[in-house]
Amino acid sequence: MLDLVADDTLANQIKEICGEDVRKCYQCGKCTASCPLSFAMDIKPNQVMRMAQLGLRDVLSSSTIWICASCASCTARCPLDIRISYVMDALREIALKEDVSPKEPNIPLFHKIFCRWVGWLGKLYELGFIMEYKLRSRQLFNDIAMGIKMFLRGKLNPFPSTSPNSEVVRQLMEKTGQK
Amino acid sequence: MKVAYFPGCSLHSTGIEFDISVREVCKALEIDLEEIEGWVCCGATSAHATNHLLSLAMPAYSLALAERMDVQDVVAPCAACFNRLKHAVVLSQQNEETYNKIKELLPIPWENKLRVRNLLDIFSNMLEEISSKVTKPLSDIKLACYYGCLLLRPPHICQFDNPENPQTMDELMKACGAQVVDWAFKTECCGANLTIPRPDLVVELTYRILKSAKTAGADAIVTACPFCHLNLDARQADIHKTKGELFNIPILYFTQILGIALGVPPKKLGLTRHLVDPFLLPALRRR
Repeated sequence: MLDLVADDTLANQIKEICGEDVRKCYQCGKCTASCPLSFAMDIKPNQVMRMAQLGLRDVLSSSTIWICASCASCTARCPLDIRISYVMDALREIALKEDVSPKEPNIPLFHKIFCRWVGWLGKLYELGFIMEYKLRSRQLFNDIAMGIKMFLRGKLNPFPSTSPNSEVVRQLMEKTGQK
Repeated sequence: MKVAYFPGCSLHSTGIEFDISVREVCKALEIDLEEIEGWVCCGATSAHATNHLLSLAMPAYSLALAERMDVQDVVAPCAACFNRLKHAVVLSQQNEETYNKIKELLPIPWENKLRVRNLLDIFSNMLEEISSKVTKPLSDIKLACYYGCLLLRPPHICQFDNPENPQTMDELMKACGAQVVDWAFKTECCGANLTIPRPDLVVELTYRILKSAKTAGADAIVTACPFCHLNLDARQADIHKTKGELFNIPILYFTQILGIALGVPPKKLGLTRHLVDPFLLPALRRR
């Protein structure tokens, strides 16, 4: 039988990052019922909450924490007002900090490249960022027809636009320990 | 009315027709948009997915820049930007420790004294004026109003409309003379940025939304978010490929419909930039 005496370390880490207390969850399952992406997750949102309560760190290598699109349906409907989407964010942050190998490696890769481009320019240069992502995830040729159509309609700016305050963004990233 | 304008990155690129139509509509309604000088990316979605404090400090910095202007309101038409700016404001109001942490990070003072609003919020408070300015009502078109996630959720942050059955866009479209359909997917998620790393999931989610709108009898879907627009518009070709169903439903920004109704020439509203051609609709072709 599973030892139900919880190890609070993970719950405390989550609370430290986003202020949410996963121990309040009583497993009604409303988050999973509301989640539009639960069909694609290996561990359902309510199970994520339970694992976080019990301190089961395997949750950090679930596909769920990366598949979650932050739509906040769970958060809007939780009867205990637990902001589950913030818990998901916190779990991602912990997984990155602890170098947990992600089950959906392309999604954290996407976030990392996004933040780097924004750090360089202060704004997102969509074309450059997408090209780098496509190269590094080796998905260069999917979406190419869509990309060309968008380019021809002037929806992908060929030149980056920069903010004069990109240095501030870089400093914010440095001070907050962004990887 | 003068307001600080936060366009965000998408409105200068993939969502350029949103920016174009926002500016036209605001001109017609005498709302003076003054772009925040030196604004930076709000960080959506990657900053909050990886770094809580950074995700609040980035929008707070742009808000601090806006405090130097002579305004009370910051307007962010993009739902994602609106959501992140509101997060910085509300979480700082609710928690002094959070506010102090952000303040310490910023190189300039931030009093957190401005109100962050989206355009639907502003327009829904001037419906009478808008109705009186409608010169070309769109009575021959049926619209599905799609709100998506980030204008509404989480409700403790957005503090806008009814998160389960919102009505502001429906009321605005009715003021433009259009018919609106009652449908079940107006607040469902489109998958947002998963469109790049997991397009298969976005195809699944957008398929359901398009199918629901079509079943309800909509001629077009109206959105308020560049992510939603991109996914619903650009993924229809992939849906055709994988699901065998060709929707060809035009996806429009609410500001484009409002612009047409206010008599702005359609060519000034960026209608030719969509992947699914809005002029497929006889109601728009005639204008």
